[in-house]
Amino acid sequence: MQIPPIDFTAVYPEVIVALVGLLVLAVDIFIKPQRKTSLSAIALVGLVLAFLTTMLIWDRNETAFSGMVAVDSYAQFFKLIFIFSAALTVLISPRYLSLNNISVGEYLELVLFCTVGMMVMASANDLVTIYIGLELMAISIYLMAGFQRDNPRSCEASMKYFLLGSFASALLLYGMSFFYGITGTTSLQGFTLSPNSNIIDSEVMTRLPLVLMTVGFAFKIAAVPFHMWTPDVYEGAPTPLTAFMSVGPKVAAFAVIMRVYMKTFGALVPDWVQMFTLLSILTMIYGNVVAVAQKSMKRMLAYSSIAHAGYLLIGIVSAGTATEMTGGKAMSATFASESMMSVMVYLFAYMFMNLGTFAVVISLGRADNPRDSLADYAGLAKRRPLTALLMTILLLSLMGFPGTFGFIGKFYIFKAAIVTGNLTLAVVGVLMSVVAAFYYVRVVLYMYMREPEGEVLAEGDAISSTMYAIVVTTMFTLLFGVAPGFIIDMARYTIERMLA
Amino acid sequence: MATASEYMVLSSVLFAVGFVGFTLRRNILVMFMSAELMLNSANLNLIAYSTEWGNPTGQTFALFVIAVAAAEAAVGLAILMLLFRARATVSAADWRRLKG
Repeated sequence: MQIPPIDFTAVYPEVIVALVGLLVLAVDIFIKPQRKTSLSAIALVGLVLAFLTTMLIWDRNETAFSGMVAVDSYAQFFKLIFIFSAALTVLISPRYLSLNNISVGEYLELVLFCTVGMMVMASANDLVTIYIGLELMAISIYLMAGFQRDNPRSCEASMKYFLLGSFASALLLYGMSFFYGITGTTSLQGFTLSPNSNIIDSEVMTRLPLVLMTVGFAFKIAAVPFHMWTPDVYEGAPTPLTAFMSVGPKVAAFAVIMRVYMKTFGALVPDWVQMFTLLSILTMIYGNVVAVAQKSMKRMLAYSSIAHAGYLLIGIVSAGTATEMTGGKAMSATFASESMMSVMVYLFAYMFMNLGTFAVVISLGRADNPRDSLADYAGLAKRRPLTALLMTILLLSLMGFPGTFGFIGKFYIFKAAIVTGNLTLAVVGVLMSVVAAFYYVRVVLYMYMREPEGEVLAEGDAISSTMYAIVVTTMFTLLFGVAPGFIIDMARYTIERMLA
Repeated sequence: MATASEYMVLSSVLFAVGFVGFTLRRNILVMFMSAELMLNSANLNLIAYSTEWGNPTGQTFALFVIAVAAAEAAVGLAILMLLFRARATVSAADWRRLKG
């Protein structure tokens, strides 16, 4: 038997990030404790290299490894998001890690391995690849959530995420096994509505993989009613990791969802559109309404990230509806790709603004007190004017205020929903954005209008890597908010080639 | 020799046992075992279908799943040890720190 040739250039970004992860782990053993910051430098250099190689294979449009891995610009677009989010996580972590005595080497190594898992998911063209990528991502995060070993909350968060995560991946895998049973292949191109096997042939059975896989993915994007792990895990985990996992796994799951549901489950569109509509409405309402009642910033941002998954699902539903639209194949294809483009742009925006907001939360923390309750933000504008200003911009962007990147994302999502006739979703989305405005603006009011209670700590806008991360994310939020054309064109280009 | 549909019945029973066990029991070890049972029911499906279709993809997938499940078990038990040292119990009902 002949082994097919292996094209390593197709997975260079993944290979580089994985090798740098191992390098960090090895160097960690030999380096002196006071020089641990150089590990962050190694990780950053590795991520820059991965960024460059991603750009190198940007234009390729093929599959590699016997069709297991798709090498297309759609995958590269998401890899860019993962590399950015990993780099920002590396930047925001050192302060928190040194305050809480967390070992830098193992932490960075797990962040990098988790990034590899997400990159594999984005470029997966086969159920096996999706599963491996998903588990690599999930197992790294189970470990990182429990990194504060002496803190019972962190251990509990880790355990909770582990149990529900393995439950979700068991459901996903069971769905995948039926997929294989119906089609006889695990390739994403293999799914057809009329099963040509004598093993399974009924209407219900062909929907079984769809339902089970949807539940599995819904856990990963934290859609209501599969969100129950989210607030607890986000609150208990170390804050930089919370930032990372509120972005990475969610983006990765959306990357897989768009590829699988548009290309593979194209014949089952009416079924999954119904499911996602329901999930989207529940997620938007629950996430936003419960976020209003939160006193802890970390929990509030956890619920707000649930709500954002709801907005993103609107885009997925619109893409599904578009493919069924009457009025010409060309038109429905345009609407479908526009809807998916809106999701990709929103994900890009969400990455910057969410990581930035969490970076601010980290920059306020102290060793004895995480200082993440709403009251700790009172009078922040006087103590740290720059941080307060940047936080305001980031919160406005999360809210979807015109002139920020968040607005561009929301605008295209709602536009897609309206042109494809999903008015209910658009109305619920806009109404819930108003509710969201309440709890985002409340933080701004606390920062600018309220006097702090109790003794005031003398502090200023200290220059640190966390501060760099805040500045960078805010700059991108504003830059792409004013001139989003570049990202939009990029997303449109990749999506058209993926759907073609 | 059993047919694929008979294997499917067996795997559904295993899956149902795992599902019910996970949702009803509050002992972390038992919950963990139930999740493993669900993974194995999927494995059984994959292998049965693999024989039926006459291609080895399902068996390969099952091998991957077994490897991943082993890694997951190692991580899960490590986290359980961590929690046990802090709490001296393996019951999920005693988790009060986070609101739930």
